[in-house]
Amino acid sequence: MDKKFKIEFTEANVQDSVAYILVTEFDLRPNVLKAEIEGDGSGVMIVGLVGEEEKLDAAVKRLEEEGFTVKELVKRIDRNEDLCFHCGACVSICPTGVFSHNKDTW
Amino acid sequence: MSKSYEEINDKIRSGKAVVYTAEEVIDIVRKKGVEKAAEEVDVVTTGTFGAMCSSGAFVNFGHASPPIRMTDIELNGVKVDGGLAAVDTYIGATALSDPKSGYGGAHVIEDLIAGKKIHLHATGPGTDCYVRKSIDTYITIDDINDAFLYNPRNCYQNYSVATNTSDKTIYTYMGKLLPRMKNASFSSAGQLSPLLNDPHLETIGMGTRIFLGGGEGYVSWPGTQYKTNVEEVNGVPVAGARTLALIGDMKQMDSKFVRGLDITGYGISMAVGIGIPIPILNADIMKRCAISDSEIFADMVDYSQPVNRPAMARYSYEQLRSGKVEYQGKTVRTSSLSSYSGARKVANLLKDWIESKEFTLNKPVMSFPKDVKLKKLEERGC
Repeated sequence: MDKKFKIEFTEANVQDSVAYILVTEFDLRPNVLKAEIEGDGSGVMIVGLVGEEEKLDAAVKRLEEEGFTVKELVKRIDRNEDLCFHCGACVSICPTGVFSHNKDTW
Repeated sequence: MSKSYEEINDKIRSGKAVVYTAEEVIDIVRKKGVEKAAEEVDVVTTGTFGAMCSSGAFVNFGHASPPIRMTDIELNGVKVDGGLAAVDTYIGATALSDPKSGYGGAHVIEDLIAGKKIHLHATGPGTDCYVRKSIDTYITIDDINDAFLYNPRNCYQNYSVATNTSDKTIYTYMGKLLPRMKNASFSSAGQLSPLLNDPHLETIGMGTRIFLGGGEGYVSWPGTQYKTNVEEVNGVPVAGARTLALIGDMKQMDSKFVRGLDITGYGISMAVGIGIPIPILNADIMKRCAISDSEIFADMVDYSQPVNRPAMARYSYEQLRSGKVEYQGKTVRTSSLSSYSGARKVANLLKDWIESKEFTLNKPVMSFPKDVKLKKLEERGC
């Protein structure tokens, strides 16, 4: 099973231990898509996790007990080319920075 | 050196007019100098394609048999104005009856222009001369007598850059603004923008012929909230200033250039593609058309502030379009809300129309105000 999560942590949590917990205690394979840490030590991580479903659910519970805010990213984001009129609003919002301006054609 | 509208139109009619977009002309003026460029260039085309909330359409449905005097009208479920005679209406772009639908006045207008069937449901009180009380039917733009866009406030001359210093994401007409200034949004075509290329409206006024929504249109009046007392840098305002009220026949428009927008967490708006030609009557006008994104600035304000939004910083459109700006050592990602590629398309289409002799320029019949300040809405009793 393959799920994506947004994990928010405060300065009280340590970001490194998140991946370690997921691998060693729940046998999950993490793929860190994005990690952003603020000056005060808080931050956000977008991570894909591969493993057994029960272990994924248990891992989420464990992280929440540790004080992390965990949100599953269920919606797949697709761009409808017919509707898009290329304004650029999405560029600064996308957490993984998927969109950018093509300087030649933009 | 000076040219007249008649000279330029003669050149257009004989296929000899030299036309460039406001983007192309920047390099031409750089290389040849203002004087020489002004002699050679006849028309500069500008373009913009962004959200313009104060827009809408006048429509006349024609009379049914028996006729009805409509007082409550819905088009595809969107409530439109029922206070205009028997069968006239105004479809406001931001009208929204069912918030969950994400379908508002602007979408009705886009669908009408696209030739789609629109559900019309109307009721009325019934009078001695209009006995009928309700009607339920489908119409297309070809069925109805009149359909013309009348947009009270379009083509904002610059606009503030929006950011959010609070701890929560806010959903605004300037898009989704992430907490703690993670992003900022701006909305202008910058160096392609009509009113940034003729900032004091020396050539643009009532009657100016324009590209509007894919068809021919006109500047009809100063736009609402038109104001002139805005600080200028390099001859152009650094925040929202002048605006234009535009008019045009929807039956010749293209729905690619009139788009309903569902702005998440805010409401409905309409993106309109507009192009305005500027006749190069003298060297000063040429110089102003050559302005580039690096010379046009906009002030950034905090949209999480409910009332007063003082300027926090000032950026050029070159900086804003790079994708990020700096604020007190922090990187702020930036997004345009106005389609620059759309603006470019419009400016190029207008250039084609002029070069193919299909489009001559109108000298304004009335110039717009030189000195206007805005009033606030006071709260008071009788």
